[in-house]
Amino acid sequence: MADNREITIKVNGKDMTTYVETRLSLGDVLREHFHLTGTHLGCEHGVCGACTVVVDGEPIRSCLMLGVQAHGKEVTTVEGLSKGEDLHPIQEAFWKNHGLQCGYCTPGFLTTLFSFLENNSDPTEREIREAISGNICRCTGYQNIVNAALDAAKVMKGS
Amino acid sequence: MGARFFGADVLRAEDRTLLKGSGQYVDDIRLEGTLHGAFLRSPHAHAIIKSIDTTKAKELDGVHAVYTYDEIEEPLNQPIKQPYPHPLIRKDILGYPLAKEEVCHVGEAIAFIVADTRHIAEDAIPLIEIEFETLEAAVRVREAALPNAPTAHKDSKDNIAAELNIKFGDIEDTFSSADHVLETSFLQHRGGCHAMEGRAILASYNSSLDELTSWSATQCPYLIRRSLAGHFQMPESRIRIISPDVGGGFGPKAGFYAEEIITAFASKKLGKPVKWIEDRQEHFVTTNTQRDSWWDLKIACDNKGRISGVRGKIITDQGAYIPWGLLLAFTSMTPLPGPYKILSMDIDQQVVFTNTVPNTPVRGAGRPNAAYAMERVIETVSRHLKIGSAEIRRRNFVEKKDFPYKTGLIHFNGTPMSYDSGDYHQLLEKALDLADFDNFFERQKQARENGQFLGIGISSCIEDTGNGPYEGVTVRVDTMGKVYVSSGAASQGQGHKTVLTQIVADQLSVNIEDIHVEIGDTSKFPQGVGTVASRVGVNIGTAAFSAANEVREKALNLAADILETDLEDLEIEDGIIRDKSRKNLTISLGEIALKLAPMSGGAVPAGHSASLESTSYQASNGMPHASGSNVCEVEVDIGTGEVKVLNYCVAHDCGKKINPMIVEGQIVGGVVHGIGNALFEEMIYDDGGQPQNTNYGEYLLPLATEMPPIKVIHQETPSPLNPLGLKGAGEGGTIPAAAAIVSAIENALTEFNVVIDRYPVTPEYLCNLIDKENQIEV
Amino acid sequence: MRPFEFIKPDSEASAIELLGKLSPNVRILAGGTDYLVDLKHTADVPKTVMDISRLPELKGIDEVDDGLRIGAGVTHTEIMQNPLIKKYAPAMIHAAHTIGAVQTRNLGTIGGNLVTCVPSMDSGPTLVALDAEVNIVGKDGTRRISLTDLFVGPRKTSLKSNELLTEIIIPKRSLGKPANFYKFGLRKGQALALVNAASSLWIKGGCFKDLRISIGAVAPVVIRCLKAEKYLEGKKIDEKLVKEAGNIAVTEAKPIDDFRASQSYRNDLIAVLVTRTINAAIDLADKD
Repeated sequence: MADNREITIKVNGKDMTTYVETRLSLGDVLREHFHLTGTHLGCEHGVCGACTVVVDGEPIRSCLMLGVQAHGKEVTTVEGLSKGEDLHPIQEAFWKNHGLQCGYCTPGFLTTLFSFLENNSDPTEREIREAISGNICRCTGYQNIVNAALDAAKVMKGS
Repeated sequence: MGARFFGADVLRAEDRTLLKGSGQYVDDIRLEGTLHGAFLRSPHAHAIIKSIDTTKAKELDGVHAVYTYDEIEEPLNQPIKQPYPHPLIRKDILGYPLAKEEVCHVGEAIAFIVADTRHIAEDAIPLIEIEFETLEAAVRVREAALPNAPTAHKDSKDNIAAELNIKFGDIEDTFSSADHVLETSFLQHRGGCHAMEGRAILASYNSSLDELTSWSATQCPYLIRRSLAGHFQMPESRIRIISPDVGGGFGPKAGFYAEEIITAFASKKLGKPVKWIEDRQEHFVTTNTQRDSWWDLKIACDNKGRISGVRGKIITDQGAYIPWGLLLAFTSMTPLPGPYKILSMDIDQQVVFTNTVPNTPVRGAGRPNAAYAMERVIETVSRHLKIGSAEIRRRNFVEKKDFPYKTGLIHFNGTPMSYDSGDYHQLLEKALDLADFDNFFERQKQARENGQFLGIGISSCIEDTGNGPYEGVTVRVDTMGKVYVSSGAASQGQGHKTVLTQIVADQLSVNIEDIHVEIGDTSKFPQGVGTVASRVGVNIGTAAFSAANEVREKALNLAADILETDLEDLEIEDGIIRDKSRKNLTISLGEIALKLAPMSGGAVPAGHSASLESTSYQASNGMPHASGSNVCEVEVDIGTGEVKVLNYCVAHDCGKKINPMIVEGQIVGGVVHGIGNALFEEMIYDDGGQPQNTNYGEYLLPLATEMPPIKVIHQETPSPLNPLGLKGAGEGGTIPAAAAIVSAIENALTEFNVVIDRYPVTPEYLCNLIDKENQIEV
Repeated sequence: MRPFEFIKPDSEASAIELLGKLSPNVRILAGGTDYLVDLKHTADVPKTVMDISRLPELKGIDEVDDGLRIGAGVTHTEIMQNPLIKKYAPAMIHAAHTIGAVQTRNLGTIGGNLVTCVPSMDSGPTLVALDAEVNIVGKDGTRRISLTDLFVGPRKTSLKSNELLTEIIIPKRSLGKPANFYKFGLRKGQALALVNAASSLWIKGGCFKDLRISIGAVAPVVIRCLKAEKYLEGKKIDEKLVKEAGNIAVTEAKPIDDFRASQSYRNDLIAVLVTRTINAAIDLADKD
């Protein structure tokens, strides 16, 4: 039997309240209830990483968390990275390093790296590859994503 | 007119939107009142549907309709039409929009449920009561090819979909006079699409206008339009297909699928937009893949390793239906000679139905298969005659002086296979240098002393790119001087908008910011073909160049009249036409555009034509051939059979590069796709035709942790076939990769005499090849 | 995913009480990395799902009188970053690191990994090799059992439907014990183990002491290789003997044959992995 709840999630700094079915994943809630469609669902099986969002400072898979579980938490999605027209240094670095092609997996990589680089200011290439091993990209072959992360780390460290 | 943008690493125009998460993929598009669909799919590889009862499903709250074959109306209740008809197809079998009576693979669509939400539609699936009578399934393609095999379709007598042959030279004479006749046999398996966005459709039928608009995650919107027009018996002009942001294509998204018909049908019946988003498990069992092909080849060569002839047979798994005709079969044969001068060939291919997901091209189509086969031939000769793997290639390459070089084969478009340009010898040397090949053997020796097994492998290939017929481009300047560019060629991440902008900006000497591009929408451009086969860069590049040039000529001609100056004295800079010697004598492109598009009662200046615009379908005058030589280094753990790719070097020649950054992105991504094919990706079916690994935990795509650093170096032999000297680059990374990896593994295991006869090379397979007696624990 | 009722108790006591009241029509959700995937595909949806991911009692890693206490709700990431684990059981960090990817390690819990009880669980072998025990709480109080007694079969534990696994205890005698974990999957990142193994040992007078060998993914549950342990126990360190112990371990396993790997290949891997983990543990040990 359907069970519905009112939940409030702080999404990209703003409290958002909605009434959801308990079975909806956080990814579904972000997309369908908050219309934040930058979070993409690639496998809904916890492997591809396209749906990665940052919850209370840690990257998680929004297909593996129920929306009701996120009640009271702080969530950052790809839409929360840029400030108006200003891209976040990671986004800027992806652009300059051609770190995306079709762009579908990109939000997941950005949110994963956003959290990783906040905590690792001077990462090695190996550490970056390890950090993004939970994200699948079929287009880029990862190399330019790694290069973008190295670039972004330098910029973020300097700022 | 200097080239400011052509050949430069111009950052992509597409990216800001995508990076901010505001891209519009099909599932992101919201139309008021949209209903959501889900399919009941066959759980059996081969079965008859005895009965089906949708009553309970229809009764579920929130369900609007449940359709089965019986509810599909004329003329839609016919099998899907063959988009690539060919006289050699013996059995032209394609499925129905929903299974009629027989299901021929796990995943075939049987019923379509439309509900308020996707969750409700999925809730209704198990409420459909259905009774099957299972039939014996044809699963292993070599067994399916035998005369008395179970048939993949109940009314067929055998499973042979087609038999093809390619032939040139005097094969009998070549083999009877050869110093050596050698053999090589192997299995190739290429895996599925696995674009990170699955297929997706949002169909919206407007009954008052009798118009259908469908957003589809497709590589070929015009194929969808044409096919829907045929099925619905509706003029193409009433159908609009939009390919919005699309999350990767890689071949399988270039097909026409039953879901396109069903979603449109449901929207028409229900009077509301209907959305269907493929989930990942569906992707494994419904989106076309490119699986097994078995090769048996005989090689004729002389004592110096010069290969004179290749003959043999291929058996290809077609899966349950033949939705792409024989494209895959042909593309695995016609490029077979690769960069080598072969005097004669005679190859048969059997295309065989099985009760598995249909097989159609994946990145490179049959070209990676052909390249792999020829590299196996080369390695077989190298091993047998003990000639180094670089040297054996040098001895067999087509030489620079031979271009244009006709291989003797005929492309499936009917024209002779002709290599336009290249320098295969120099390309190989570049790759060897990049990989520090000469010093490898010392590294290998040292590593061996530490108990490590390193190996190096080479692979050389050609790629027929930029095939016809065309892609069109329109360039139009408005009265503000802004430039509008449109083209039929949809993008799935290749950066078409950016490359169009670069070419047009140079030809019109305008700023990139003043150009607005629209692609992938059939209402924005009249005709298009599709983004497949490394063809779009060459085709839109050539057409954009031609259209922009014509606009330039038009503008300059009128400017010369207005400014009363000689045409030769005019130049354009930042959208302003001026006389080179009298710099204050100017007129803007916008002003010219206004003269050519006056208001009612006005007149176009005499001797000039209306509107400052041009449309061109100019294509390459034949197929430009790209080429590549790759060198890779691996380490094998002989205890577990694990292969680690240590580094990968690419020397690539795709002629003049419009945007080197994008080219390199295509190549590196392609290499990783090829490494996935070589080591990881395998769609596994059990003997009953049940797919075994339909999730990303079990179907292994390459991850960042597995991939080596990939170095790319370029050689530019401009194609003489088109004005910009372009050759395609979308698949050049993938085509040679598996062969390089496999050769490197064999090289690492030379002391065990390992000869690899299949890919993907799994650790278990490799362990079994390593002679147990020789196994050394490390 | 089919509909269900969702409850989220705020204390261990209230979780136990609810469990007693609702079982067996309730399923426990911790990190969700395994269960939510299951829930999407199964027709067997429980009436109620109880989220225990935020119970404070299940958190924390502490040194206690009888060893090291790890809360069942500790995530794999927390294990990887914990100084006590680094000091006393660093092989666990390596094991945790091989689980899924960062996004799943941030959600997935060690207790969840153990009670899900898939044969290929990556938390199991190291903990078994360290003689870990678990505390189980039910309405009648707490019981402590050895970890190996928790495992009953694939996805089957000795937990009763109204009980909760609350803590994992690594006994004092195992703290700082040289140990090594090795996982072999078909891909480095995000792969299921075809075989995983862990060994722990002390070296006394150049001889093996208290050797423990545990392997996973090759029997219905994670097992200890008692015969292989016995074969080496008390013997002088010798490469050949270690290799033989690997072969003995093979005889103690019952790997399956499936599309991922054949039985015989899994057997080959057992020998290689057991040998490698023992050798690696030897390298870590003080050789007095």
